[in-house]
Amino acid sequence: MIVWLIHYITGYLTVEIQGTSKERFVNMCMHHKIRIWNLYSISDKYRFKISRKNFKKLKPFMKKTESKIRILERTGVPFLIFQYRKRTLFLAGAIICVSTICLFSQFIWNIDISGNQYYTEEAIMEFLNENEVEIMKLSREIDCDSIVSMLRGEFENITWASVHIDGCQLVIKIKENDQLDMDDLETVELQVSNTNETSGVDIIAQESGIITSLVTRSGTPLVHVGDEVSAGDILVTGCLELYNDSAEIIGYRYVESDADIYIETTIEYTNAIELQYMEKVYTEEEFIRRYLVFGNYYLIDSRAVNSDQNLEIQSTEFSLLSDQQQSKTLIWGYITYLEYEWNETIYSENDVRNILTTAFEVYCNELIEKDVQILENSVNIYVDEKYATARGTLDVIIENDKTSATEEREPIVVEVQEGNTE
Amino acid sequence: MDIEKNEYSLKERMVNVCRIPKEVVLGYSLVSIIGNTELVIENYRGILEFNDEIIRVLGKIGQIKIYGKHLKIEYYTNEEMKIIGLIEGIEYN
Repeated sequence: MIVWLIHYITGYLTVEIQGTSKERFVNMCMHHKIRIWNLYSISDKYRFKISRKNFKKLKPFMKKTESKIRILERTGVPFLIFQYRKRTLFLAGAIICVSTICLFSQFIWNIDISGNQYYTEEAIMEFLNENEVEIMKLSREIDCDSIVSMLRGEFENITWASVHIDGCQLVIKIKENDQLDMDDLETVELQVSNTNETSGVDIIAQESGIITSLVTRSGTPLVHVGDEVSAGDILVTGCLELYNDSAEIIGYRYVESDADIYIETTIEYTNAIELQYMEKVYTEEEFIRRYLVFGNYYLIDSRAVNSDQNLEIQSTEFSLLSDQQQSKTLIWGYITYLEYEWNETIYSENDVRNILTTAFEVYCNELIEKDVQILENSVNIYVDEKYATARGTLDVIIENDKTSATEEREPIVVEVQEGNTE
Repeated sequence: MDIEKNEYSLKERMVNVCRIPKEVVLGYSLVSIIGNTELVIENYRGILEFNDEIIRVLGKIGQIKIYGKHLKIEYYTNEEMKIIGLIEGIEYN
């Protein structure tokens, strides 16, 4: 392949030789170190390929061997140039094309960052830009080793980094400290346990209702199943009373209360919508303005949009260099202005009922997702002249998870009186 | 003649003892054949006959005749030549 390419660039000929001493001719070529290839015989003729340069040396051999040479085909770049010598613009275009590719391949057109989880790509990009490592920078001006040390210096949790230039792309691969999250968690747990030693945590009722279930894991329950509680009441206290042998309180110990408490309660639901509303009606008029962004420069179709109506603006853009979203080097896009006007419309009763029913279903689903059991609902839709309202109550069982800090109590000091032994 | 023969055999024996490649010292042609479709010859003087069925090559100590079908010389230089085609036989004269 490489040999063929060299021959193609320098140009070669397919020739046919005829005469009585063809073998001698070929041997003379060999002795004068003239390379010939693809030699084969057709009837009483030999055909072979020879380079353009060597072909000029064949004249004396033809005379000596009384052979006749006929050129069958000319192949290669020099012949192409000769053929298209009058098409100067084509040649200029080809030269411009090649030189543009050569010129543009000297720059970095994309920065690919992978392996980051803790640090965002934006943060790393911002840091790189601050240190003059950016898109459209000359590849030879980029020092990969210094980028590695800069990254490791700036971002503490990067344990390993590799930076290399792959064509026109700067590839940054990093590895972060995986132990970080675990360490953080441990620190948080440690802080929590430290907090518990000094002050406890109570569980208070977040809604008024009846306790349906109560399972305490730590703390002292102050209510029982079936009790009616109001919002804000302490359900489980984090303050444990310490007794002595005489069943007297000698002190308090504070813990973080933990319990599964379910409260049956009633919640109110109201959702009202106006019957009259403004509807957006598109007038089929639209204006498209295209633009091209090249690094920090942009080219935009800046014709004014002549419209008296309201305009909805939609923008779509595509990266021309790669399919990666972060590539902002070369982007083309278009902005569509859709003309519309507001029309006063009134909902029909059916529409209103559908809208309110759908909204109520969404509300119920949200409650179910929060592990709320819906026992019963008595929500009705009322439609008057101006408004449609969905109103009513829902009987639900909710899990109580509201906590607050325990109020610290003064420890009771028990004075032990020593008996008189006399 | 006998002296020549002795000298030649002495040269050959020297080559054998010193383990020098024979094609370098004695000028033997080196023929490498791959399957029956490719053949490379080194150390030769020239072509005596060439058509698509027979190629007769003059070596430094004799002729090599290659029989076959659709024979073609892929390249032909001062050092070596490569023959491709369906090779049926090689004969030394």
